[in-house]
Amino acid sequence: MISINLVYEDELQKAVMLRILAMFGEKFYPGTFFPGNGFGYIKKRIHNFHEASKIMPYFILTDLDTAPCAPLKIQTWLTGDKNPNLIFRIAVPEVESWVYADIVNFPKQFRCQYTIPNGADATEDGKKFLFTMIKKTAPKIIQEEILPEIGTSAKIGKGYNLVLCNFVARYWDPHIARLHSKSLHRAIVALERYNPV
Amino acid sequence: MMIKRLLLKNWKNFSSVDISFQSRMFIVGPNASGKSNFLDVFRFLHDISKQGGSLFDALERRGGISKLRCLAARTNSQIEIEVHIEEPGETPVNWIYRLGINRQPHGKHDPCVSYEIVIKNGETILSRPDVDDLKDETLLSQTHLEQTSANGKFRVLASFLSDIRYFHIVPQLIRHPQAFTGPNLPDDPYGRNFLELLAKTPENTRNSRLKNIEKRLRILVPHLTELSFTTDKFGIPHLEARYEHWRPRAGKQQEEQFSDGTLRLIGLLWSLLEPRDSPLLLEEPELSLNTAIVRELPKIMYELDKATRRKRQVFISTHSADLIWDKSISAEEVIILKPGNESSEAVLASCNTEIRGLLESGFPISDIILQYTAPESMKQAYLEEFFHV
Repeated sequence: MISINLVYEDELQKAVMLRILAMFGEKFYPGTFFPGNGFGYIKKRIHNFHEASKIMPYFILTDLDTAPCAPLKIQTWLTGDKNPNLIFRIAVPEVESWVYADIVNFPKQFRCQYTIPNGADATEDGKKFLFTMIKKTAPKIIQEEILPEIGTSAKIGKGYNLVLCNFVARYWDPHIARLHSKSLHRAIVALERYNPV
Repeated sequence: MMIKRLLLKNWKNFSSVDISFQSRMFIVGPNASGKSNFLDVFRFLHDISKQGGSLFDALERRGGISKLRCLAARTNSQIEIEVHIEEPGETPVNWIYRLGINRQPHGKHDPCVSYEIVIKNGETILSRPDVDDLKDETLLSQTHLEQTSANGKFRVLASFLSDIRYFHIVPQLIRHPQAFTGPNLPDDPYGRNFLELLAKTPENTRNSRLKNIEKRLRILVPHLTELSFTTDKFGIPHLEARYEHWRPRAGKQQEEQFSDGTLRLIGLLWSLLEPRDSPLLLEEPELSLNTAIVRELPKIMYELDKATRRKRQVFISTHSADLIWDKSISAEEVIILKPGNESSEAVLASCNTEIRGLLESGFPISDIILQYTAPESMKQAYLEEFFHV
């Protein structure tokens, strides 16, 4: 069993990382959690995590957000040769898109409708896509959980993390989602191929 | 003087501890990992050695020997405490005090000293049970540490331990002491009689300390000025200060109107200014304080220690990453408590290979420690949810 430390920006990313690791049965065991509260922390500490990965493997997940492409973002953040013990993956455009890339279970659980003909990675803004689709098609009870309260500066609804993390733990199927998100597929492949150095 | 090392066996939730100390130690760990129990061993030694104190009282105050003994203790149920103390000077003296406590094997099974040893610079100057103890077992109900007639050869050690101070101010107790009935606790650890303590302090000393406190408070609570001590017409002591704000002639306010944070800070600074050489035990000093102030505390503590020209050892239990944010704090100064199934573990952060690796990779200690002190139960919940284990 490989004990691997997890570095992430938010709760939903953590849930997704744990679910992906669980796909591999007994191969991985989550070590220490490093919550970032936004990408700033990971960007600031990426070289330190890289250095630390010489002792223990790290799985780092961050969103692409507005960067032009994932490889460029990795190169900008982490110059030079990358230690194979550092699995640094980027969700394109955001981890939310990995979640709704499960086009079977997501619409079923949240009672919503959407299409992603060019794949989830092609949606411009993961959270915006999710909010618009929930607002247009999901029942009010689900909207109230997920959408930020109107007239406030909140970025997400009060039940956002709870509802989406529960979904990821119980219903999200990464085998389906990887078919509709290339960045997720590549992250899973990286973990499949990974053997500690 | 300074406690350099502590060894414990079967003490509360620690079945075994062996840890070295610096002059400033931070104790971190999840809830119920034993932070207060860890500090309590120093309070226990204080309770034995203080004026009028005794092993009997120290045990009684803690609900008897059965409440003190580690649950994991089975075959060896003896409680053992060993402290290594360094007395500085031209020729430094190294003291070791060892105490074993158990129940008497017969009779009423009362608690007794199973052994008591004092070593000075490698030479044993007390070793009990001695001939007298063997003649009269009742003598083993007391330590020599608590008896002035018996601790002559190691009085300096007894005074050092008796002077240990625990501090955990509860602002409500200072503000409304009359609302809390019942007898006062010995040593007033929660500050119920803090104002009386101020009243008993000689005027010059009190004024100079309050001035010193005000100077620091000006940085931390900028609107507060003219911090002073006064008594009302009934002779009841009060703290008062002026709050400068948009009203040019603002009236003075008394402790009742001070915020929780201000009162805790005043108490904390006062205790740091007390001219003692023995350790100060602080429990969660970050409570009620703003993050920015909490980050300043280690610097202020150092500054006050220098101001009093004493190198007073401080043990601080905390849940706050901000309190260990200061870059001068080393992994040798952080004790991590980890609860296990039967007993807790206490280790220096510098002894953990992974933490050492992260520090060498450039992480500040405050970034790391919180991840290592997150409750295992939280992680277990994730494992159950995602890995079904």
